[in-house]
Amino acid sequence: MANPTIKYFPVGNGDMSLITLEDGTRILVDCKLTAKSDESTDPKIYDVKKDLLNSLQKRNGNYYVDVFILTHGDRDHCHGFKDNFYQGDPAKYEQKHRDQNLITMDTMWFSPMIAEQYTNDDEDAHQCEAERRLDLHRKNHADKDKPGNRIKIIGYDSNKDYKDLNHLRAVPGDLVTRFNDVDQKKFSIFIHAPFKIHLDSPDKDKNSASIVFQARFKAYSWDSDFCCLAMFGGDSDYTTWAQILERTKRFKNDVNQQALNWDLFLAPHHCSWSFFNDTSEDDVQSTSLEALDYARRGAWVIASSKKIVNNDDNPPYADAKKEYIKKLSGTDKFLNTSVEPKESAPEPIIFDITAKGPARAPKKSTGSASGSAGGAGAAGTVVTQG
Amino acid sequence: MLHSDSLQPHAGELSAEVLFAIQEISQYFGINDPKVLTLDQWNVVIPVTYSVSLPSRGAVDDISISNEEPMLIQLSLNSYPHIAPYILSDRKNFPRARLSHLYFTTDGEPARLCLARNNPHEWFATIKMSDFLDVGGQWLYKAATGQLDDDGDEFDPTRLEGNVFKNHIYRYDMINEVVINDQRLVPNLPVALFGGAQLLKAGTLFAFQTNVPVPLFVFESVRDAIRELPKSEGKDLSANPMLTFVFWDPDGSIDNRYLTSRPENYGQLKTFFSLRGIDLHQALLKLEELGAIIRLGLCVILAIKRPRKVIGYNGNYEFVNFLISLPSEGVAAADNDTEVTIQGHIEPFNKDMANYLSARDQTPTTLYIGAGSLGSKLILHDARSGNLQIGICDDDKMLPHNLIRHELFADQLGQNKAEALATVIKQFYPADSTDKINAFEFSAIFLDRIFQEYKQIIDTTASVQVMNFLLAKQLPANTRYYKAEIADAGALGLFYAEGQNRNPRMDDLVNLACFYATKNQQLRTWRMNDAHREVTHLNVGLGCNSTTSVLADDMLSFHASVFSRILATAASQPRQDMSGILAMSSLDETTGFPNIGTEYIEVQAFDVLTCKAGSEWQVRLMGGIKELLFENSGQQAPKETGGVLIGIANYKTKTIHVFDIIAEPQGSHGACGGFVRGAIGLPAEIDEVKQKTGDVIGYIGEWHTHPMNLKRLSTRDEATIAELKELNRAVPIPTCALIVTLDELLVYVYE
Repeated sequence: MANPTIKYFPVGNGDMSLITLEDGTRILVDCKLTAKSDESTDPKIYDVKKDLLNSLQKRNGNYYVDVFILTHGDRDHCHGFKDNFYQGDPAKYEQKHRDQNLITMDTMWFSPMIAEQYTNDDEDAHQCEAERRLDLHRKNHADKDKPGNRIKIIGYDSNKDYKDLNHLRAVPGDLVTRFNDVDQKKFSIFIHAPFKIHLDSPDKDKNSASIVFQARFKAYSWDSDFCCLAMFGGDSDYTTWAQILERTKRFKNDVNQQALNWDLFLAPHHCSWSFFNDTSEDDVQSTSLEALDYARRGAWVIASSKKIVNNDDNPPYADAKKEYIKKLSGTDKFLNTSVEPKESAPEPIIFDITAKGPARAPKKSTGSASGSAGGAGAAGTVVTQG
Repeated sequence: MLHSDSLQPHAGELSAEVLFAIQEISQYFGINDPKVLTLDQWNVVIPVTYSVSLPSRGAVDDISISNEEPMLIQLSLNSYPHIAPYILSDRKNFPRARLSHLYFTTDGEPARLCLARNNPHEWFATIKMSDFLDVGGQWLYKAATGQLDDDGDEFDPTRLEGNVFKNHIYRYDMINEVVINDQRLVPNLPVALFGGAQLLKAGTLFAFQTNVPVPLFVFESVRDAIRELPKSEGKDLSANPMLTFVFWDPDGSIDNRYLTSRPENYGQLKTFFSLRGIDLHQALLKLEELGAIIRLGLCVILAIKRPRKVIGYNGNYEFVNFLISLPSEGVAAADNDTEVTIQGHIEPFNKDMANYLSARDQTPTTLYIGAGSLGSKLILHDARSGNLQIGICDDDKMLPHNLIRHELFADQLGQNKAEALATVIKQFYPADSTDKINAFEFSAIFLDRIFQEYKQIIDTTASVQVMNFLLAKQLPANTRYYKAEIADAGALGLFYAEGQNRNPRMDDLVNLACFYATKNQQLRTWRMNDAHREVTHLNVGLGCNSTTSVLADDMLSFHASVFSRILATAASQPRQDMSGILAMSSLDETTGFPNIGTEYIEVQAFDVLTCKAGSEWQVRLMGGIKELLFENSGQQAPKETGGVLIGIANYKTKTIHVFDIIAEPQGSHGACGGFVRGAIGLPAEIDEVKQKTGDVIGYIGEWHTHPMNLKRLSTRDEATIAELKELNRAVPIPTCALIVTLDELLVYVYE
C-alpha cells in the first residue's frame, strides 16, 4: 500500500489540505476553490480544483471525500464550498451533479460554535447541509448513517442546542480513530479546540474558535510512537494556543498522548502575527514559542499564504516567519505554499508519511519527449509579431 | 570513498550528442565546470550531486542515503542517445545489498539504478534528459523513504539484466513447490533433482531447460535413461537430457540482501553457498557417488528465501542459477578456478501464460479437420491462445509448394501436416501436459467416435466430401460444426457456424452464402467470378477449385485472423437459442490499396419438411419462407395461389434448400378449384438469380395452396408433376411440389 500523504494546496492566503491515508481514506481540511484558480491560464495560479479531483476517489462515477473538516467559516477556508460540494440527499445525486463534478462529503465535521454568524454564502451552505444531516440524525432517519449523511459534531454548542446528538460529538481532549465509519489503526486525530470558553467570550470571533487538531500517523499499529504528527490550526490565535498548552498539560495529554508534538505545523492564520501576539513583533507570547518547542527533529512549518515578503502585510507577516524559523533546524524547513517549488508556478507541497517522519516527495510525473500544447497555452494568447 | 576518485578525465573527442547531454546535465545540476571521466572504453561519466529529500528523522530503515548523494551519469561515447544514460552511485559504500531496483553489479562496480521496468533505451527515447534526471532523484527519494518497491508487500528480485548471456528455462512454481516442501532427494542433503535438457538448437539465448522433478523412487531409471540417450546413433538431437540440482538453505533462513558478488569460479561459488549454510563441494561429491552427475556442464540452482513474496512469482524464494563447467575427471578434480557462469531464469511458455497474454479464458476442445494453410493458421492461433485440447485431422503430407502459405517450415517437409503441427504445439508447451494434442493422420471420413471428445469441429478443407460426411454424421448434441474457406482468389473469406441442434445445418449456410449474392455485392462478385473463372494456375500442384487458387500468404493470414477472432467469440456464446452464423471477411484490392471489411449474418433455424411421397428427400426452408407461404395462402383464400421455389437441390444429401419464393408470376390465375402458374417474365427473373449466384441458385420447384385444406396432391397436381419430372430430369433437378394447406406444408419430391 502507498504511504499516507498530506498535501497542502497553493491557495494564497487560505487553507486547503488533503490527508490521504494508507487505505485510501481522504480527509479534506478546509477548501479554497476559487473560479480564478479553476479557469486561469496563468501558471502562477495553480488549478487546485483539477488537482483536488485528480486526488480524490470516485464511487459510482462520483467524486467523494471521506471526511470534510471545516476549521471555521471564514471565506478563505470555505471558498467554493457551495459550488463544488454536493449538498442534499445523497440518493438524489444525479447526472447534472456528476457533470459539475460535485464532490460528496461522506462525513462532515461540524463545529456548532463557528457557524452561527454567517459571513458568506459558502459558510451558509455548509451550515445548511450540516443542519440537514443533523436533522436526519435527530429524527433517527433510516438513511442517517449512509455516506453523504454522516456528520460529526466537534466542540461545544453555542446558541443552538445539540445535546440530544452528543453521541456524534468529539470535544477538545478527545481522540478520534473512526473516520467515515471505518476504524483506523494507524491514524487518529486529537482534538485541541475549540474550547467552550470561547462561547461565552463577548468578543467571540471565528478565528479564535477554529477547530485545531493534531493528525497522528503510526508506521505500524503496534507502535507506541508516532511516525508523523501534523498540527492543523485553522486561524487560531495566541490565546487559543495558550489555552491548548495549559489544558493539554493539565490533563497530561502532552505526555500521555504526545498531543503537543509536531513534525508538520500549518502556521495558523496564514502565517499571521496573531499566533504570536496581537501587539508588536517585539512582544512574543511565551506560550506560542513553547508550542513551537514541541517540534520534533527535522520538523517543517508550512505557511499557506501568499508570498511572504518583508513588508507590513499581515497575514502573512514576515516577522512571524522569522519566529518560526528560529524553532526549525534550517530555513529550508519553512515552506510557503506560494513559492514552492517556484514562485512562477507554484504546486502543492506534498509530504509522504514514512516510518521516519514526513518526507517531501519530489515531482513524480515525467513528461514525454514529444507532445503539443493545448488551447490553454500560447494558442490562447494574443501574439503580435513583426 | 568515491569511484570517481580513481577515474581519469576523458581525453578523447566527444560527439556532439554527448557534449549536448553534458550541457543538459550541467544545467540540471547547476554545475559550471562539469568533469568528464572515463568509466571504460565505451563510456564516460559525469559526477553530480543529487539533493535527496529525506524524512524528518533520516532515511527509513536507516538505509545509508544522505541528503547529498554523489552520483555518476553514464553516457555511451559512441551510441548516446540511442543507448540510454545510466545513473550510478559514486559511493563505493552505497548500500546496494539492501536496495531493490538496482541492476546486478559486483562490489567493484558502481551501483547502477534501475529506473525503468522495461528496456531503458526504449524508455529514454521517449523522454527528455531533465525528466530522466528527475527520475533518478525520485529513485533516491524512494530509496530513502522505503518506497522503492512499488508494491511494498512484495520483494523485488535481483535484476540480472545485462549480466547474463544464457538462460535457464523452468517453471518457478514447480521448483518452488519442491523447495517449500523440503522434498530432498536424500534426507541429509538439502537438494532436489529435476530432469531437463541442454537445448542444442536454441541459439545463444537459451542453454538449459528443466521440466520435471526427479524424486528418489524414479531417480535410477531416469539417470539410466539419460545416460543411454546420447548413445543412440544417427539421431539429430535437439536437446541433450540432463539433471538440474536445486539447493536451499537447510535452516530456512530469510535473506533480504541483494547479490553484490557474482561467483565466477568454483571457489567463489562454494563461498557463496557456504554463506547460505550449504557445503556445495561435499554435496556434489555425494551426488556424484549416487551417480547423479552425468554431464560435465552442471546446472545448479540456489533457492534464497526472501522476506516477502518475490515480485512476479508465486512464492518467497528467489532462484539464482549457475552452470558449473566440471573437469572431465569429475567433482573431486574441480578446483577453485573451475569456471562458473551465472544464468538468468525464464519461465517456459505455458498454457496459463498463453491464456493470459491472449486475453482468452475459454478454449473448448476443438477438432480441426484440415491442416492445410488455412487450417494451420487457425490451429496455431488457437494453440498460441493456450488451447491444449486440440485434435488435428489431415492425411496430407507437407510438400514444397505448401511453404507458400503453410505455418510449417522447410524442416517439416515430407511430414504429415497434422502430426507436424501437433509436434510443434507440444514443443510450445514443454511445461504442460499435452496429451490432448492429437494428430489423426487419415482422411476425415474415417473419423468416428472421436467426435465425442470435441465441443468444436472446424472444417477448413473446402471439401464437399468432408462436408457431406459431417452432414451425415450424428454429432454429439453439444458439438458445433464450423467451416471456413477462402473464395474469390482471396478477396473473400467465408465462415459458417451451425446453429443449435445443427439447424441451420452447414449445407444450409453454404448455399445461403450463394443465395445472398442476390443481395450482397461482394458475394455476387465472388459468385460471378467463380462462374467465369478459368483455371490458369495449375503448375504448382494446387487444386483447381475456387477455394485453393493462387493466393498470397498475407491475404490468407488476414482471413485466418478474422476467422480466429470469430471462433474465439463464438466459443463464448451461450448454447441456448444459438443461431447459425454466416460471416464474411473481404479484402478488396481492385481500387488500389486494400479495403477490408467484415459482415455477420445471424441465420435462424430452417424449417425442415420431409417428402410425403416416400422419397428420402428433405426440403429445408430458410427462416421466414414458411410464414410467407401461409401469408400468401391466407390472402388469396378461398382461391388457390402459388408460384415457384428458389433454391438448390443436392442429390448427394437428398436435400432441397429453399431460400425464396416467387408468387404468382405474370400470367398466373388462381381459382377456388385450381391455380395456373404463369410464366411471363419468370425465366428472366430466374436467370437473373442464376447469374448473380454464379449458376448455383435457381428454380427448384413449385408451390401452390390448398385453401380447402386438401392434405394431399390433387389429381391435377399428380398430372402436372408427371409433366414436370420430364422437364426437370433434363436439367437435372428433382421435381418438387410444395402444397400449402391451412396449417401445414406438404412436400413431394421426385427424382
